[in-house]
Amino acid sequence: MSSIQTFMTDDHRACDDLLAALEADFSTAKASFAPFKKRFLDHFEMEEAILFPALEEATGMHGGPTEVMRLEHSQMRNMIEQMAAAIAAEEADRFASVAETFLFMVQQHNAKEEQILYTLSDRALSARADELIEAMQKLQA
Amino acid sequence: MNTAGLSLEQAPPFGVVLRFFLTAALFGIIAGALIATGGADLLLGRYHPHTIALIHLLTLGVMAMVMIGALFQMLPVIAGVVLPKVRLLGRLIHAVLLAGILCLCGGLYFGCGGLIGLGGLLLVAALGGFSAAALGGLFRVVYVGVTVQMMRLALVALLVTALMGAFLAQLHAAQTLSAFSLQLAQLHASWALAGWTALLILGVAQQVLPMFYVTPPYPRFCRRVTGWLIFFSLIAALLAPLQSLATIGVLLGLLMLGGTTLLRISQRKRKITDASLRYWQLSMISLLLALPLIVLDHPLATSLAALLFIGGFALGLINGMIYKIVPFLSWFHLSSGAHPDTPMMHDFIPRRAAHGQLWLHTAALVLLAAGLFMPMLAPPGGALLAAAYALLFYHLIHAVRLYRRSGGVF
Repeated sequence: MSSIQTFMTDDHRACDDLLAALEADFSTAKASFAPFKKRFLDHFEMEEAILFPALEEATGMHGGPTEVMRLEHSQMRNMIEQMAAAIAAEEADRFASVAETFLFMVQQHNAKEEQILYTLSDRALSARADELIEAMQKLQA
Repeated sequence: MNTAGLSLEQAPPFGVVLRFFLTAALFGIIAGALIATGGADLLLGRYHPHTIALIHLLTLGVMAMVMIGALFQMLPVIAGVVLPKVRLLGRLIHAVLLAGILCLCGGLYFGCGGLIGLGGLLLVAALGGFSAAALGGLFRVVYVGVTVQMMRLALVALLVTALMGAFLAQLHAAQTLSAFSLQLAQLHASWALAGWTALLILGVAQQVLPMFYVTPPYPRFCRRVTGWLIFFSLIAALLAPLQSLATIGVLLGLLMLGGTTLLRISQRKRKITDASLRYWQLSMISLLLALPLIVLDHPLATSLAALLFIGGFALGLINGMIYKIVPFLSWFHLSSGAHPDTPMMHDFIPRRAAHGQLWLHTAALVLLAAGLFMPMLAPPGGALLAAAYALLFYHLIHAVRLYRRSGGVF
């Protein structure tokens, strides 16, 4: 049986790697931005379209933690756009500032998901784990 | 559903935390000015009342002030502990702590026994009251990670430190110092530095270093062994026959903390090197340099070890944390109002500005260390330390003003 916690946490680490690489060198940011953006947006989508609805259905929980996560996703999408704008305008300082703020936002968001939501998902969705992970992998492809 | 764990929704008002940080910077200025006027004698005095006053301006005025302010933020956000009436509690603890520090240090510096005794009582009220409130919440936490465990141990150590300190203050006030009070003073210092300070840093580092710099998590022994080793060694140190064993235990624990943190920094995925990262490195290198000096047990080595431990390890880490926490919290508190053009972290404190402060602090440390051997270097070292804290204060005010202009509330 697969673990949602492991699958999603691994994806967080992959996102971390892309963000760290993007942030490290502004001269290559134009090229590394597209794969970075795709991975983050896919991750949000996997949660909002597949994991969260399944979790809400299984636990009867609406609003609350999943709603907070959706709000934070929209905040992070907005910041990804601000990073894109800074790269397009070749504003290295502005980019560094948005990127670092984004990183802090992502880290505290991920910690909440890993400590609480994914643990809960493994508990509430153990029977459907394989099926859900497969659906999420398809979305990423 | 239990949402304890990281939850910024439970963050206290920004003003609660800022009040402590701003006060700490002012105490840093006072401490630096004191060294600038008092010179090397102040650094070498060890049990001289002026030296004790200086040490407490730094350990209580700067360190405890920031650590308690940061705990007001971290307890709810990292540990899921909601402090009751947090705005009032924050003001109260801050006011009593401030009064206690002024009485204790003023009493010691100007030779007024009554003030020293009063300071001890106010401090035990502030520090004891805070640890009791925090521990009450921390022992009810459901999700107990290493950070929560270390916070518990650190706060118990703070309580022990405060009780010993208040007792010592009464001895000073009554001028009944003896060989026993010297022994007690050493235990008080061990519980304060290796207990309260190092244990809190151990717990917080394991939570925030992987987040701030995307490092691998700390190894298992740091989660399971290090903190308990230090804590039980400190308890063993209370029993005279176990003292050398206790020293070894404490040193081993601190070595694990310093060594592992430097290793994790070198393994970070985030390749950025900013002032905060340099502060983390300065902090851990100072810690490692201090360890062999503690073993030497020579007066000069002890003074240098204290300087490295307080000025390098503790203050370095604290400064590094402030330069991340304040810009992030400024942004965070504004962004919950979701303005599209909310200023970002570096707008609150520009990245390059923090470097200037880092250099001032590092230069101050070097001059003060050299001042132990060449007394003429101590006053300029003190002046640089005061300048470093003046610049930190200015940076904090810059962040606060932008926060207010952007519609932030305290």
